[in-house]
Amino acid sequence: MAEAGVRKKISVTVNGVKYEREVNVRTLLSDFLRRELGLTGTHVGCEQGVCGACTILIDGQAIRSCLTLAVQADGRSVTTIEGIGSPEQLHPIQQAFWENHGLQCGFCTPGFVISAYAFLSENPNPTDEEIREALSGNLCRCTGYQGIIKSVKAVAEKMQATAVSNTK
Amino acid sequence: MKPAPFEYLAVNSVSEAVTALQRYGPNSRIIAGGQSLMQEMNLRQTRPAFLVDINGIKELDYIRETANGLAIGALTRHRTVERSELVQKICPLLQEAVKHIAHFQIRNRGTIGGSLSHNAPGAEYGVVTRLLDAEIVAVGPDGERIIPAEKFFIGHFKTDLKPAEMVTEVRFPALSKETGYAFLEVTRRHGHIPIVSTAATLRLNPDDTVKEAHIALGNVSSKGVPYKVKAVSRLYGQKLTQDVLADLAKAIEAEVDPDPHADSEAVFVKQFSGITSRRVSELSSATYRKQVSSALSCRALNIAFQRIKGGI
Repeated sequence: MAEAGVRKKISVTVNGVKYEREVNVRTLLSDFLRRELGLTGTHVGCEQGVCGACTILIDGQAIRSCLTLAVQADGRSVTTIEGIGSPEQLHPIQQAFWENHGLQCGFCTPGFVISAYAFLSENPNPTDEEIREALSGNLCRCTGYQGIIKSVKAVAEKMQATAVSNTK
Repeated sequence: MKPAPFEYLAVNSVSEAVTALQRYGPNSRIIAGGQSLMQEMNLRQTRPAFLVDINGIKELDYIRETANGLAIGALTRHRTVERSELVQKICPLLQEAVKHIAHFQIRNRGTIGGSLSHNAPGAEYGVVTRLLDAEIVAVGPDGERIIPAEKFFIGHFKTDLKPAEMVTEVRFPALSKETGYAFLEVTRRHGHIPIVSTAATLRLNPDDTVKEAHIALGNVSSKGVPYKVKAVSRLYGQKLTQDVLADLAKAIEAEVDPDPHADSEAVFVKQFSGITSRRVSELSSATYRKQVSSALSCRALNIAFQRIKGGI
């Protein structure tokens, strides 16, 4: 059995790019993404798992990157907001947030978009109640949430319409 | 904040984990989902010198049907339990409870073994294991032992686990088709720490009198353990009328013994926040939690009754 240590080599795929780095074992995954890889789209709010601003996908599952160590992402595949869309080509969820006033200051938005992405990929035709439940783990102090819920609803309806027209 | 420095070791088997816990001593902690531990470490409430990461022990991630119920591996995520058809079929109460744990992003990581080992007040799995007299399997240097839920929880954030022991499996009995059940809790916001959590099961005789009923409550015991209500035995042989339930409500209020420390906390909030509303002052006071205990218990029995009758 190996010995415990304070530094460890990890290999992690982020937004399709493989990175190999040696990290302090106490580095949070959120800090690794922001400081080591310069991917500052993942925001750090509370650092105690409550606010949801640091939500990312790990092997396709939405998780809090502030409650995960960078070493725990070794050998895994991570998707951050930078991997969802770009300023030139917004993801439909991002487009819907823009069109429906789903953001004001934008601090919480990456977390909301990632949560919505994970949620809609599992439940593409949600009820209002399900949308509210799915977004309840993300905090927004600007919008009052109505615009965010409207955005997710709009993109779900759009995706449904596209799916229907594709099958015709 | 960030966690204080520690040394880290990822292990791939239970025997490696136990060896590591022995080698690094009482200042070492197991990390599984880390949804409570990482939070405490970030807040510097906990400063373990060594972390033993068990996420690599893939063989502890399973849900199996057994001769008399379910066996769930310690590393099984809440989300897996939430979606399991086997859990839905054999112990649906567990599925009802797991939906109350935090938010889906947390349930994607958090594990059943971690939740039980942490023993946070009101934790959903603790209440259900206590209600159903589930068994917790632990492995340590001296091998495996089976701990009944009644003996497993011993105090606030304390369990019967010895320093070099870890939970490997939890065994739940099957709920019969005739058993009604319910899980309810009161929280400040959905997904937050329960002020009171409640689980109940109910079986009826052919004449609708109570054959068997059990209620367990979370966050109401001054000892910091999930609490099994004694007063429920007075229902046996009776019909669940308004009067009988009102009588039970009174008895539960008299029986439960919430931690009075919470009262001073509530006063603290009131004094320093400038908020004087009833809601804040009673939010988690012992008196409030006694009232919630009896109200939720009766409501849970009602839901269990309706389930038996096919109303839900």
